[in-house]
Amino acid sequence: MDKKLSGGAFALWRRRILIVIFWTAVWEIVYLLIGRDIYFPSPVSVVTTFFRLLEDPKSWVVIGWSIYRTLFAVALSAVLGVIFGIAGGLNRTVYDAINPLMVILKSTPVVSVIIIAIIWFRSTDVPIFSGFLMCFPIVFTGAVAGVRSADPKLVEMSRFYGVRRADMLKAIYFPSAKPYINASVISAIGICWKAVAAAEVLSMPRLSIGANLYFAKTSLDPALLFAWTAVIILLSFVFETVYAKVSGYDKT
Amino acid sequence: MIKLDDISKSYGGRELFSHFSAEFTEHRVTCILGASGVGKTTLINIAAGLVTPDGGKVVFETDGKERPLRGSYVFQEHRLLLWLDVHDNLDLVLKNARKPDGAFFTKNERSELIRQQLALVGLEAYELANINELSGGMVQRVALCRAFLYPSEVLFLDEPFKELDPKLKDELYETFFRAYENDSSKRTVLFVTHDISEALRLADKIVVLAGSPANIVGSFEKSEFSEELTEKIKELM
Repeated sequence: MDKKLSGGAFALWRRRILIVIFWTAVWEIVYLLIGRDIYFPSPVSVVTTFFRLLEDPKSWVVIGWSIYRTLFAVALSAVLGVIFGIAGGLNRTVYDAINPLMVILKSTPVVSVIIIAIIWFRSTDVPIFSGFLMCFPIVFTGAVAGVRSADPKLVEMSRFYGVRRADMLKAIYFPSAKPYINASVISAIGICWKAVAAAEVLSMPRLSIGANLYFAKTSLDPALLFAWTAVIILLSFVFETVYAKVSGYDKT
Repeated sequence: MIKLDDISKSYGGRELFSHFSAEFTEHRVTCILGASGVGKTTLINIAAGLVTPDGGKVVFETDGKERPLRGSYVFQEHRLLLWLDVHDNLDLVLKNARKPDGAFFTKNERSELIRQQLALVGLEAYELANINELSGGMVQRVALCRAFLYPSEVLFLDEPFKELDPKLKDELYETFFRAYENDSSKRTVLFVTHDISEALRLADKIVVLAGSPANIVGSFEKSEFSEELTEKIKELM
């Protein structure tokens, strides 16, 4: 049995490695076809720059600040999104009052939010506000859908037995909404990283991945640009995976 | 006594009850017997206050005085929370329940009551088990336990043993009787079923429902229960 499993795991890893080799080869071919480092860097130069970045303690301070902004925005969206989402799921009037704002926010270009935020806030807070405005509607919608997915037969039973509203919330609505909330928080994490990076590029807080992306562009260093982008992708993946693990949510 | 007075109810253009009246005596097990789709569930749901009739009213009286009805219900499905254990499922309905003196139960009182009731239905070893670890029969016993545990005057049962095999049904009848005999408040029981042998086994009184709109076509006291009655009820249904 163990042998079989390890055989299966080996095949899986072999397949993954082959996929990585395939896409790296595609990248290299495109690089060779373009033939100009200034437009499109080679995989080797990006990987080298990436590890050089990680060796530099200053990069970690920059990464730390961007992590702080993203986590702050996600946490704020999650807490407020769940509170308002549950209230909206339980009460039609609350939902009708909040939903138009959510519809507008969902269709608002992130860049408009960022520019408005630049007028209102300090540069370091702009990404937090922008990330929050992008993620709050996602969590809100998820929580509303989750509450509405609660089994009406269980709700009828608990009403019949005179269960308090607070106990119903804890015992029925929240457990029913949990998978929806977790799924929405996971997708909010990904979106928040993108929104925070974009806001950092425009608001330029001194210590931020976004400002470093901008410097890479102005210093015509596409390898550095790709390396910082890889940092964002990796961080987004790590945070999504850690959240899924901690919350017990099955991403598959 | 539960009085259904001049009840009318239609669903999707189909008239289930029209000017229907009935009275169910206190402290007895009354079985409402009828073919599938005749409106038995709707009838006890109207009596329980889960369905609002289009016309007429439901009155609950004790000692000649009209009072708000406090009921417990065993549904066709167990309606237990799969993510809670047996104890927490039972505790959920007790938290906001009041004792006869109007006070709430303390946490210790609730735990003691839960333990006693579980022992009565033979599930004392499963207090901390999750619902999905239990068999179908055990799950329905927990649902029965919840209904008896909740301080109510009327107990509604809507074909709770429908999906079970005959051996399990027998066990659950025994469980029901044990809980009912032990019940100090001797509740009024309204039991809906389409199974004549089940009605003959459990009821003090059988009320046969038939027709469209439905009406009571027969009413039989325990003293009349016999083999011949089975045939007679079959004809009525």
